[in-house]
Formats: sequence, structure tokens, C-alpha cells
Amino acid sequence: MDATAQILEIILPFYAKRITDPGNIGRQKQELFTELTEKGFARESQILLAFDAIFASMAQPVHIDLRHATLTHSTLSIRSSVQILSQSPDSQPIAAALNALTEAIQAERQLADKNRAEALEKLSFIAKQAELPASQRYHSILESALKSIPHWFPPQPP
Amino acid sequence: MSQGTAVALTQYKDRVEAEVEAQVAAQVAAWMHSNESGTLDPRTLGKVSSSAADALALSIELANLVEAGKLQVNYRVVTPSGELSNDEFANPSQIPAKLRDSKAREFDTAYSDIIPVYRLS
Repeated sequence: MDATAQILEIILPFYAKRITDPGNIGRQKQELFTELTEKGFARESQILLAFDAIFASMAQPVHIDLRHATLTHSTLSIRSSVQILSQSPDSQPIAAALNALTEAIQAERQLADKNRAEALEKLSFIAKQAELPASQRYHSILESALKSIPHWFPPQPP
Repeated sequence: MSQGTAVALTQYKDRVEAEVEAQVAAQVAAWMHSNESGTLDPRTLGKVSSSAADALALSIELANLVEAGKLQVNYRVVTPSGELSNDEFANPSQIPAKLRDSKAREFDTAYSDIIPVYRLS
């Protein structure tokens, strides 16, 4: 397994937990830092925590285009990537990221069945929408579904 | 997409990344000159970041400066009242299960965000 796959394997469950169990952010970040560091990704863990702090404090809603994503972009920006669904004509990479996140949630053993079902339902809808041409997406419903997922959006301006 | 278009897109991406890198270096350098004795809470950089790519570039630049020995990084916890804890830790795994805020009230760190804080070496 290459470094990209290893980091993805660690980070995706982290974001899955942030959706399903947003309250335990401190514990989750500790676990993420420990796991990344133990597997030789201390630098990536430092970058991830800094990025998370900066990104969460940004005043304006942002998006990132995953079509040109590098490893770090794609793994760190899952929570922001959904914002370009209504803008990007080519959202296959986003759909792929969401599908990977879905698989991570399915594999999460500590997740309550009810929470798992709810998260999977939302992700499934979003992933299917991402595969459609932009003109065919249900923007308002999509936006509502996305906003219902905690921590995927940075703070909105007042 | 034609091969020519793909090459053009790659060249455009490389140029944009180089410009972002230069902007990031300038931002961090400006901060270093204006905060000689202070600490940097990266959340303040959110105000000067206009995209996730900016935020990522800043994060990478901070890691570069730590690796170069120009900055030190420690980790602090956001207290329930939104302030940063007085206690600093060399890494997040050293943060205890309980801490006290500025008014000596105990809180559970499992539910509190962790922020890397930088200062000049």
C-alpha cells in the first residue's frame, strides 16, 4: 500500500466520525494525530491540524476543485468539496471521495445503526447528485442535505 | 479532453500554485516580522485565506518553517468558553482527559477542539 492509500485509510474514518459523532472532536483529533504519527506521517498530521484550524475560521464559504486535487487536497477537503457540486461541471472526483467516505462509515464498527443509516442516506443522495450534470442537480435539496451534515461547512458570515 | 488541453491545464495549475506559494511565504514572513514575541493562532489566518487551497498552502508553509527550525509548534485546547487553554502540549496525544480553563473550571478535553499554536524559535 502506498503512502497515499495509507493516509486516506486513516483520514477518511476521521471525517466519517466527524459526521456521525461531531461532539468528540478533541478525542478524534488525538487519535488521528497518534495514528498518523505512528505510521510515519507526523508532518501530515501537523499540516492537517493547522489546515483544519485555518479552514474552520475562514470568513467566507470556500470551495476547492478536486479535479486537480493532490493527495493532500483531496483528503483534507472532503468537507469543503461538496460545496462545488452545484458549480462544477465535472464532479466525478467528488463522487469518488464521497463514495470512499460512505465505505468508511459502513466499516465503522462503533457507529450506532441509526446514525449509520442516517449518514449513509445523506451521503448516498449527495454522491448520486454529484454524478449528474450540474444542470440536472436538485440544488436546493442538495444544499439542505449538505448543511445537515455537521462540520462539513466552515462558519458562514453573519 | 485533448492532450493539448491537458498540458495547458497542468501548466496553468503549476503557475497558480507557484503564485500561491509566493503569497503564502509573504504572509508568513509579514507575520513573523510583526509578532516577534507573540504566538500565532492559525485561526487568525482564516481571515486572510480566500480558498481552501490558500489554507492548505499556509498550513504547509507553517510545517516547512517548523521543519526549518524557524518556528516551534505546540498544541492548545479550546475551552468551553471559546478561549485557548493556558496549558500547551508538545503533541495532541499528551493532552490529558481533563483541563482547567482560565477560571479554574474543569472541562473534558475529549469534546474540545485542538489548535496548533506557533511561536518563533
